[in-house]
Amino acid sequence: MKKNIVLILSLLVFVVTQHFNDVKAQEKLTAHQIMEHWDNRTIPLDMTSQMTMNLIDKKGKVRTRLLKTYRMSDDKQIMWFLKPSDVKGSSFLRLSYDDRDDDMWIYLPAFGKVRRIASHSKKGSFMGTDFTFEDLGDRKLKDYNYQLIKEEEINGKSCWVVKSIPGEDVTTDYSKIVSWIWKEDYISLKEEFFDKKGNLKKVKIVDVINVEKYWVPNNVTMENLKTKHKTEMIFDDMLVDTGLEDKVFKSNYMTRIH
Amino acid sequence: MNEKIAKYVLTYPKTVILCSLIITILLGSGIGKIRIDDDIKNMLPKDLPARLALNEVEDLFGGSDVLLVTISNEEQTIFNEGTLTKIIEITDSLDAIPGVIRVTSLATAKQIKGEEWGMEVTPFLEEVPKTEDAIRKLEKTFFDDSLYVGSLVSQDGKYASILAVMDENSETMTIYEGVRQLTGRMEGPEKIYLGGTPAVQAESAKNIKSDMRKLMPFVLIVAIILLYLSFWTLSGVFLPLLATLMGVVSMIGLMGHLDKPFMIVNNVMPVMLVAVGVAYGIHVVAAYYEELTNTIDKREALTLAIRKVGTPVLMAGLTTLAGFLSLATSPLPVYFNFAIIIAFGVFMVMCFSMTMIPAILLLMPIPKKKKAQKQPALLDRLLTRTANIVLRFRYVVLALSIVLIIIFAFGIPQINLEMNAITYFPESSDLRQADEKINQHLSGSVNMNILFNADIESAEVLSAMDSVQQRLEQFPETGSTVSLATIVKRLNRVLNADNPQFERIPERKEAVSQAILLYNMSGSPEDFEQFVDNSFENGQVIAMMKSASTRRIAEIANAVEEYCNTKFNNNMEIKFTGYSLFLKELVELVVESLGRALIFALVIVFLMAWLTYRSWKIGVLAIIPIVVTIIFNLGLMGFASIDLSIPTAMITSIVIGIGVDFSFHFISRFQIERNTNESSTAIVNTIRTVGRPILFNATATGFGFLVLAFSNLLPLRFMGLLIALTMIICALGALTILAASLTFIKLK
Repeated sequence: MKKNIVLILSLLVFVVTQHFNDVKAQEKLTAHQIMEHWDNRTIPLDMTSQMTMNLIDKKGKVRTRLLKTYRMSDDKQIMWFLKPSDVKGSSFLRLSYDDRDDDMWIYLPAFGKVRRIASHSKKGSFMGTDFTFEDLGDRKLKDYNYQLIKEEEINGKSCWVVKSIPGEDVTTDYSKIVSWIWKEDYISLKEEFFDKKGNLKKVKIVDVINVEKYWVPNNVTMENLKTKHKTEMIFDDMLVDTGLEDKVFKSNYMTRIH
Repeated sequence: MNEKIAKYVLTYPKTVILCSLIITILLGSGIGKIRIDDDIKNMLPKDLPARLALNEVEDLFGGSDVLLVTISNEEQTIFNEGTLTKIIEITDSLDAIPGVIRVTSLATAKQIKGEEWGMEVTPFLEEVPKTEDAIRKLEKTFFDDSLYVGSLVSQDGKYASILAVMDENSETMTIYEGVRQLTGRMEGPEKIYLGGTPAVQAESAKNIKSDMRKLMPFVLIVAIILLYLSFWTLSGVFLPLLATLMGVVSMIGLMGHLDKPFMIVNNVMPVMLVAVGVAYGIHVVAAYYEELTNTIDKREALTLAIRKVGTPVLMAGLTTLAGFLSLATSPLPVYFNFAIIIAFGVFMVMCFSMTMIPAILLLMPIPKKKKAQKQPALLDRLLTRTANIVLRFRYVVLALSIVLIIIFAFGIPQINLEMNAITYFPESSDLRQADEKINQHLSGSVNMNILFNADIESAEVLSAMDSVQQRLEQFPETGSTVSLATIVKRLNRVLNADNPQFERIPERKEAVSQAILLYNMSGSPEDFEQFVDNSFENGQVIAMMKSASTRRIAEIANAVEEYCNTKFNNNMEIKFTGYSLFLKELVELVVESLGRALIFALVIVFLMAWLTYRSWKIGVLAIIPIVVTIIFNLGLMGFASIDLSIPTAMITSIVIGIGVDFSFHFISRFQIERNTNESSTAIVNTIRTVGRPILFNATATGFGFLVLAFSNLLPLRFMGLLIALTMIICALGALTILAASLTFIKLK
């Protein structure tokens, strides 16, 4: 009985969303409006997951790390290394702000004591991956000019393809970014990053999964076309809106083994 | 054989000419496909251990060739707004070039510093500081940190380096030219120098090309003057030249068709073929003119001429081929290709001279009566006097020769075996100056890589790396060394409240792993991957060396290797590689090639002489002038400290190929004279008759090779001078030593 209700409900949701999709498609949004939606799309209040981080070199050799991650909206993040065993218990906390440099802390059990890392680099890589902080989506809507190029399907999901060109005073590594924005959720499923000379430098591919009422990425890969190096982040055991408390994102919480 | 050729050529002259042209055009069409190869690496056989190790390094860590851009500000230091801006600009531009894997400079390096409250990661120069105070602060921070002093900025602050590691498959030439244009625009007040192996390669390639354009007209002018002096007629100048040029075109074209790379030594080929090949045409035309004094029938004169010169030209050609082909015994592909291709060129010139030249002569009107050739009476008198002296003092001549040989033999062990490509360039060249600056003020331009196959994440291996670095740094040629160990040591210090005592490898495995994790997290994948691969089974120490001398670098590597063998147990595999180091293996192969070619050529010449003259004694005599010449050549190289390198090691084979003609020429004539005269008269007659052509031939060929003295590349200059000189020595050797020795032989 219960099963049937779920089935009927999801069918209903499907029909309704399909209907809305059609309406949206007819609406003819401007590129800027699309990106406004992208900027404002609903994301989980908080999320916990296990993250497998694969660093893949150009010969295909893989270095794997397993982490437990907690995240609150877009600006607070804490993670503990579970594997490999020599680094187990190491943890990393990052708090980002709109108006100043991120605050970061690191805890390495072999050296004891939590340390703050003051990083003054804007171009920095995120934890030694092919992602820079910029790539992870810390982009401000007003910093860019947008242009709708075309509409295209990715894996059966229809998308707007939007070109973002940074304004003149914006500090960025890129001359333009092309994003595939999924019409259904305004999440970006693919992004191409072009360097200052206009060459395609990096490609990000995002797989999404439905967790409760949200579409969230469960597999994100970033390939650097120049170095042929690739980073893959796979998220499992995802839980959303569990009501994580602020105290989790404090440095004294880092030394707990998870 | 000669009869058949004469008959066919003179019956179908137009077909012969047409066929020659078609063959030349077909072969010559390959010239467009010529691929200039500036990479000395490619001169090595692919399975050489040092080359394999270098491939491994390139495979694991993405490239080993480092292009160095050095910027200097002699007036103040590089710590000023203008220079710093340029450093950032150059760094960004280099980074944007496809084929450049990673760029290291003041603008990319980070300071990692321990503080009371944690640690600080600061790029030294992400953007140019806005105030003078901030610039002074940057300067102080950089020198306090000390990790990059000497490698990125010189001790006195006047020089800064930007290092770009290039992909193994990148287009060196294009990248180099691009960077040169970029830095050219930025010069003033700063000076900008380009160095490192890619710069040396690109400059070599550029000079190979410009040499070709410069030297070819030169050697043609020499050839034209020579031909005009011998014949005083237009056809006498034109025809041998045409045959030779068609040979050159066919030869170079064949290289393109076979996709053989055009390397520095191949540069010599056109000049060499002209110098050698014109003689065949001269023989044919001269014989024709000579016959024309007896008959006015062109056909008859040509038939007689071909019959007369056929065998001598063939013999001369064969001995030359034997000399050149002796290089094909070398294990080095570069020599093998050279030998085969130049032999083909010689063969083609020989064919064109024997067929096309008579065919054209048949179709052309008889030239106006040539000017009476003045027999230079002086030369004649000189030759007669020489002959008499040789005869009268034959013991003295031989004794003197032996003394000279012994003296020059002492020079041979002093030969410097060296493959330092930077010394190919004159000291005044930009490249040499750049290299000098980089060696003097910064940590050098040539890298040595020490590859560790072991568990890189272990304290034991990192400590081993560290001690290898310390051992290396005891040598004054070592500019700087860096590895994962350097970084782990620094992080250990940072994580221990910046206490300098902790600048060492931690003992616990977890501490090592966590320090590495911290480093890994604080930079980009490119930074990390230059030191260790993803599996942590391979790591490398990168040492920048201030000397590119293969000999010196090999000595250092051997010393460090020995140190490793005594100090570490066998669970670590340590391999030494890098440009200079595998060039050292190249040097060994060059010596081996020289030895093989020498023995092969001498044996072949001996056999040819034995078979031709039916006497093994003559066989021995025929090689005497050559042996003398070779000892003279090698001894001179030792005394004049001319490095034995790939080009200069070829001199002996070339000299044998050409010089053997003189012996054969002399012996043939002596045999004929001996039929009607007694030994001493025969010698005098021989010297008087063949003395002139031999000396003329030696001078002509010598002048042809002398053109190489105008090359941009030093080894080719030496090569030109040495060949010209040894050519004369070889001719004189035939006229004196061979002559004196012949009087001791009792011929049947």
